[in-house]
Amino acid sequence: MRKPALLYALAVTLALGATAPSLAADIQIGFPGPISGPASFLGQQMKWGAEQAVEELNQRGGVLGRKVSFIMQDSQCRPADAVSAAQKLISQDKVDVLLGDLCSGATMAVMPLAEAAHKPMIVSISTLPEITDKAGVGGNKWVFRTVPDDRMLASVIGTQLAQTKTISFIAEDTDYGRSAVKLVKARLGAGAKVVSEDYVKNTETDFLPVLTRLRSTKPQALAIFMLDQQGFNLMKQYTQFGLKMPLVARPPLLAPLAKSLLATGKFDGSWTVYPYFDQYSSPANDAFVKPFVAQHKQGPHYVAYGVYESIMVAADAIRRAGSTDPDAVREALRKTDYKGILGPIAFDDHNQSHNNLMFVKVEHGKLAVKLIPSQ
Amino acid sequence: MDVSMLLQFLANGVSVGLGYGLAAVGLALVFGILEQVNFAHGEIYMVGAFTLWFLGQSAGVPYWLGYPVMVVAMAAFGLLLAEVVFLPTLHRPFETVILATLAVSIILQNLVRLVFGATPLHIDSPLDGMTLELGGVLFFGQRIFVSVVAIVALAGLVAFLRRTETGRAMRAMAQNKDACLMVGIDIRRVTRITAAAGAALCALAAGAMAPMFDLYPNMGTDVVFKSFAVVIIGGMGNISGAMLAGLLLGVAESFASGMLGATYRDGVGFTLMIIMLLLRPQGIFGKSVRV
Amino acid sequence: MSAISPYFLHIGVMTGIFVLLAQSLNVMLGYSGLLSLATPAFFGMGAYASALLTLRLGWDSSLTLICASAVGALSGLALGVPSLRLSRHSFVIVTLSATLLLQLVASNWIGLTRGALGIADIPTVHLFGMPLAGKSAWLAFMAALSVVGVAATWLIVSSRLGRAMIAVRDNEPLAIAAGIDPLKIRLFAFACSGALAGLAGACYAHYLSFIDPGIFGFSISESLLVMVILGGAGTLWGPVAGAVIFTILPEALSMAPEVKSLLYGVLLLLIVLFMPQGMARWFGRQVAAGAGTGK
Repeated sequence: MRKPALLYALAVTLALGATAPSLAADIQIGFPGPISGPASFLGQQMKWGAEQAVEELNQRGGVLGRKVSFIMQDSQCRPADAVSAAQKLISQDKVDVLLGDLCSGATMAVMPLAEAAHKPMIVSISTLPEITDKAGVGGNKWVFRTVPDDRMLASVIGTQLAQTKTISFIAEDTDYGRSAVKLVKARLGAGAKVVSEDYVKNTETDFLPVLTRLRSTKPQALAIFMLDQQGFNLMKQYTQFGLKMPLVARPPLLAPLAKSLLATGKFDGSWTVYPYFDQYSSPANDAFVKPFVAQHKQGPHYVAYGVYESIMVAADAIRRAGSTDPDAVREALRKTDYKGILGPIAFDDHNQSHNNLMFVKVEHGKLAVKLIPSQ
Repeated sequence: MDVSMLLQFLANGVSVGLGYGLAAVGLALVFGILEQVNFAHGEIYMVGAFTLWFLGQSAGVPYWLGYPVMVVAMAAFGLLLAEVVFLPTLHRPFETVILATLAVSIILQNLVRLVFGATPLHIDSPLDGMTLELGGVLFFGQRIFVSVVAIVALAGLVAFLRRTETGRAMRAMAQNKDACLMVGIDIRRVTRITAAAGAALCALAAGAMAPMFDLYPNMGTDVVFKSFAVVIIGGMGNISGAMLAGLLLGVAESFASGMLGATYRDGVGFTLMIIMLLLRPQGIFGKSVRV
Repeated sequence: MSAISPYFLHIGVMTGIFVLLAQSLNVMLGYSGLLSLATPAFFGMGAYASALLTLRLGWDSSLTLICASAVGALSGLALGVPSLRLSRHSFVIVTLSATLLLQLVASNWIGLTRGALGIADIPTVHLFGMPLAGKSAWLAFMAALSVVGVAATWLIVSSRLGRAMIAVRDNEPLAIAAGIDPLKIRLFAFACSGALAGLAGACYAHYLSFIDPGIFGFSISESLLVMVILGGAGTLWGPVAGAVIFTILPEALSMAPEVKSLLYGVLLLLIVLFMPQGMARWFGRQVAAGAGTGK
């Protein structure tokens, strides 16, 4: 009589365990990201940013007396997989706050899920302007963004290019590249002439044809929109061609690889506008960067900063709301006035924050950074 | 029109094109002799590149030594491929081999990703940054090296196929597999050698070109598509055809992306391939292990 | 309040989409003996067609789903006409290249597709004005469509044309002698395959509400090959079982995508090498001299 009862009890326990919600004691933040796939090294940085945020929060006693933890699910930056991952985070893991994905397409696919599930969502990395348009007033009230969008970056870039008369663009052929070029073109000075506009697939490594053409057309500036690795290849080939025009907009001047190239002095005058740079020294940034470098032997990438800051903002909102009730947290987020690493974070009526940006210029082979307000 | 710019497009195109040709010649050889399309061709290139990276950056072997060692290693890999895929399927329908090599390519891509991670890697070469200027046209050290390797490899392959007994056996098998049995040619041996040679040629291309590009587990996909385009344009199984078609493709791409915009680069290969398939499916030079 | 977690409902919907896709490949690979890697092409065409017709012209889904199927079928014919003339090797290469070419076109024809930005906010399926709201409704819808898809496949393969397909697959010279035109039959197979995949694509677009040129990528072919071959190509229910197992299993095991892909590669290699009967049945034409449909 005992054995069957025992087995029965075991079966019931297992069944309960399988369907029981995860322990409600922890405050959980979840996000999809590229754990595997081509962008996985950035996914790694996202995880590190989250780890650091959660550790700091817990060292200070957690939030509302509860421990904070995070869950990252793999999306490979693909919209369909991000939806799957987000769905898991919402229904299975029952996270309290959702963060966006790395890639804008994936984040956009997840936004309707947050709305349907009434889950506060913070876009921590993606920069596509449409996300702002869709969020807040008249749209998805549940989505907030703590980082700047490409329109804000483009405004600043455009202002810097006000005196430039001839310019060429090279961008990766993705939503980011195409959108960024469009935005900057719209903000160029009157009388500025776009000499050429090339889109390359993001695995392209051979820039000879474009650089050959630039050698003849000689625009005043070359605006670049691509990720670090590809941009670095472009910079290498640029030096081989002996070109002189400065690289502007978003060249990967900040990449650690680029240091030796910059030191040759061939890139003086080039500049970039970035939402974050780990080598900008300020008390707030040092407090973030030093432990990160000590732990991982690498500086934090923008994506790590984005995730870290967003988790902090989420924690702040939960604290002010006094609970993890979704409506309360959402209301608290709307009223955010958080002292972030780069400046105050507050949300406009499209739930978009207007954080300060970094303007980085190459002078005498070295990088000079200053904060500029977004417009 | 700026003449020096046009000449530069031509110079760039020739060196890139010879690279394409070298990468595709192994595919053409395997198809010509074994009548099999090796869908793992791009992954042989990729594994070769990663092996060279491992030798150079991890084991500290200098480029000039690592390169030939890697080629020999990949030739051995070709033998393995012959044992596992080509030999067991000698008398099976073509699609079996296509599916098998497709499976091998999936396995290799994921194994490499699991072992090396997805962060792009870089191989240092002594020719990095070397630039020559002749008459206003720039020539880059590594690219010159690729061109030289391509030409020497083709010459070597042609000589091998024409002058050696094994080479003649390979050409015989390309002409008529069944007749080989009657003449006493060992098909299994020829299959092994062809697979090894195909892999070695692919590895030669990888070693010469990898320092110019970044290494990532998916890099074989681009290589295999370009190689398919080259082989279809030149004629499946045609060795010199592959080299010439590669040259044609390289130059066409260079002018197209230079004059119209970089977006059009990949479209060139597709367009040429489609035109060829619609007008002359056997390719410019037709199918034959003609040398 | 739904008794079933939305996550499981989501898996169910995706399974339904893959059942349609598996049958699409089954018609080509299993019943016609053609190794086509073009399924993503028809999938993507159907997705974009339905999305654009809904967003630009405001058509009801009852119409756009049919159009998506039709677009898939037409794409099948458009691809079939040039590619079926080629040797069997070139055929495979061309079907693979077609997906890449479409991806390129989708990325660059910005006026139509918004390129890499993709098409967002695709509304859910509206049947005669009534929206499919919520995952339970979608699951029911996909379950119904799966049944329709399997029934359609059964109707096709048991019809006179279907039997002709199988005859051509098994012994082409004999089929020709019996008066069957292999080219026409294979084009018919292409059209059927395209129709099924196009329908699946449309459902995908309306369900996820977002598509981009990545939809033409090769990775679904990887999964489909395993589903169809492992499930049993050329059988009616084999691919269905394959679709169900290989949609649910990776999720249940929370496999990292690389591990999943690696597993698929190994499975594919093992079955291909060690199942001579299966392969011979579908690609039985090796007896014929020459390379195949074209020379």
